[in-house]
Amino acid sequence: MKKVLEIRHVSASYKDGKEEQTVLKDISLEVRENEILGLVGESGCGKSTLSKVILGFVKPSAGEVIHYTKMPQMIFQDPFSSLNPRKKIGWILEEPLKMQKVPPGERKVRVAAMAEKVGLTREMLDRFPQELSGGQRQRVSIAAALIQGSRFVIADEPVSALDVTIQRQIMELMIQLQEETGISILFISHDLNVIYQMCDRVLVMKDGKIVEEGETEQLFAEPKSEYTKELLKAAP
Amino acid sequence: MKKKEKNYSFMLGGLIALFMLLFLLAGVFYTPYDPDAMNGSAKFAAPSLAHFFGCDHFGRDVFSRVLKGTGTTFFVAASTIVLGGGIGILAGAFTGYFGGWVDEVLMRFNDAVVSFPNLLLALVFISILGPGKYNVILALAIVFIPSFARITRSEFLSHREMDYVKSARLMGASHLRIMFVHIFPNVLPSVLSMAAIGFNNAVLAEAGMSYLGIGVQPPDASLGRMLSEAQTYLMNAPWCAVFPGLAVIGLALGFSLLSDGLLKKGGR
Amino acid sequence: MLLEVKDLNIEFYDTQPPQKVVKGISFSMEPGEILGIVGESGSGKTQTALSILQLLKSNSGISSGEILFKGKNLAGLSARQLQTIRGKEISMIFQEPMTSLNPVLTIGRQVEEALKIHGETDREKRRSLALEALSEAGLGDPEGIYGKYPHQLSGGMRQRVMIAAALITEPELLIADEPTTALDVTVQAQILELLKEINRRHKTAVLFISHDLAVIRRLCGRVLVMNQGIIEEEGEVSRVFEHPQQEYTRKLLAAIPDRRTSLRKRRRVD
Repeated sequence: MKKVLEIRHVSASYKDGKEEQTVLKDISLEVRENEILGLVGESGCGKSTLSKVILGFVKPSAGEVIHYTKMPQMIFQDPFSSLNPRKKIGWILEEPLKMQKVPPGERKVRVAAMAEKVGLTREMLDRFPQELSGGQRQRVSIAAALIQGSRFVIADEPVSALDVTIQRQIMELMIQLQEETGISILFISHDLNVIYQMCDRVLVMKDGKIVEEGETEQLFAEPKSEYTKELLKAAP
Repeated sequence: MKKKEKNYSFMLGGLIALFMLLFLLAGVFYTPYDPDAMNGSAKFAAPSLAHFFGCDHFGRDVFSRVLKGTGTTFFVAASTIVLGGGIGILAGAFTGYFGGWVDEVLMRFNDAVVSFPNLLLALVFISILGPGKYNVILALAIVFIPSFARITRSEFLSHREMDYVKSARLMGASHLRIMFVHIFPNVLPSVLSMAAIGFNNAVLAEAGMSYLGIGVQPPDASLGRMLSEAQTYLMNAPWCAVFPGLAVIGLALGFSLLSDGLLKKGGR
Repeated sequence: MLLEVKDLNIEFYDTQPPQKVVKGISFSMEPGEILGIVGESGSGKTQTALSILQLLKSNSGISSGEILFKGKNLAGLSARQLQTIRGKEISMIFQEPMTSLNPVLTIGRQVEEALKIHGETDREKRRSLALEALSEAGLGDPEGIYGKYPHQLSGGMRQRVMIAAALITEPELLIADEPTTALDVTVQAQILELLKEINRRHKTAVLFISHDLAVIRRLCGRVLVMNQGIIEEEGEVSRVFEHPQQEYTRKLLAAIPDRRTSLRKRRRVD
């Protein structure tokens, strides 16, 4: 089984004033090719820090992070802060291609194609993020992450800020794109049901540790850790 | 949801600013009289068809002098903003974006500078550099750097934590590109409003320093200089003070309304 | 009848022409019942909740309609007249327990505030009622919490404090606007249990606003489904969930993530 990412015994800590707070404790995991891996946990469990460690925004205090593909891209929760409010959608989608030195003519073509793929109309490319709805903005984020041709995307609570009907559309879009491209997605969420509906495998995190790991059906049917059981009970 | 509210500050400010600009541009190419030519027979002449704004104590045409003086004052204020604002924005952008010890040092320096009143500090620099138009610009620019640096820094500080900046880093954009192509447009509104306030302060500071006799030197006309000379004759020749005063107000008001309006237009 | 809303219309004024966000809705509540209003953003559910105590922002207002609370029309009252009802007969809790508490005042002060406003002058009495309310809101060690500041508490504890503050005057109606949305699932479940418990014990009626159908299902007896300013469907929670009559309700229910069906064919990756 080919991997896109491997994390070995990673610990990380934050300095909160004078006190060192350990937020990740000896985490090991792997993300495989062509899978959606769910990461579930409550606030403060360290799941956001984990994504920052993977992306290199936070240096681990111990352990190693090994990328088998080029840098993953990220889809964030808050579509207000993840898109530059002063740039038009077309510009936002074109920028990554500029970084890859794609010639202007080809850029336009690829942007138009990607926009269509995620369900954005042509005239939306000429608008600013705040002129789009939450769901549309999240489509832009997805397009911006995928247009760079990454084989691995981290999605941090990508549907949590959305209304349920919109949430469903975005989930279906992500699934469809994953199946078309065969990329790997690390899907971070606090919502067990969303995780259930989307993921092949699941990691459950609590207090900086992975307390359970398994195939989705099996983990939901026969949870082993007490914490997973508690979570399942709390969310009907 | 579309707001259909008329942007009055933009329209009014634009109008005043445009008028002042035309006025001072006219002064560059044409004045009805030589602004420095004295005319003994026209001393304190009241406004008339020959002298729209009357004449001063040397019999110089006030209208011509206001035309020239507005140009001088605008030049000093605008240069101050370009120079002081430019350096301040650069310093603020780098310190805010990168943080670290450079940030610490520069900000402590900033604190030291802002702990003096602006005008006082400018006076100190003038006493070192000597009076004159260009030294006024230099002195005021130095004084204005910290306010620009501070506001730019705090904006960069908050924007560097935003997710869109992380995305830009992930796609491989360079730090310079992130700073000036991605973040800067977001910072522009606050910098613009800062520039408008700075412009007003510079107009007033130039007027104040020339009024004290350490700014623009005679016979050059500047609005502040004219006001200072006019004060002795305020009672018998009020036009000597009123028209330069109106020009100061026009400059200050016009540009501050304009920047207000720009903010409303762009910011929402 | 405890609350009766008749033909309520709410508009945003800052657009030309004014935009209607609530379009002539009517509903009523019996004493002691838990009524849910569910809807997505833009449905008008929050405006409906806020309008009852005239808490709408200044860019919006009630353009017509009546809000009868025990027969008295709240929509026609002045702010001063309404003050005698706010926080005494009707209380409200909000989504964000961080911003709805004042960071520089102790928990005790804030829980007692409603008593003070409504004329309880005896300090000792206020204190003892506050301690009682805190412990009833499920906070162990009320004495300790009484002197603490909001930032010293977790999100769930802050929401319990809000509930204590809202209930200290023993109101007949509690309006709860997305009170569990910002909380973790396990904490959310506890807060819902607490609201149920309070409703059972004090017969406090609860008007519960949420975008989350699963939460509504757990808590409420009856539910209104709102969409684009109108009530699409109304009924017993079990009926609405099992036999939705309206297209919109069906669509909404179908979109809720559940653990019955996966949206994709899972890959065995080993």
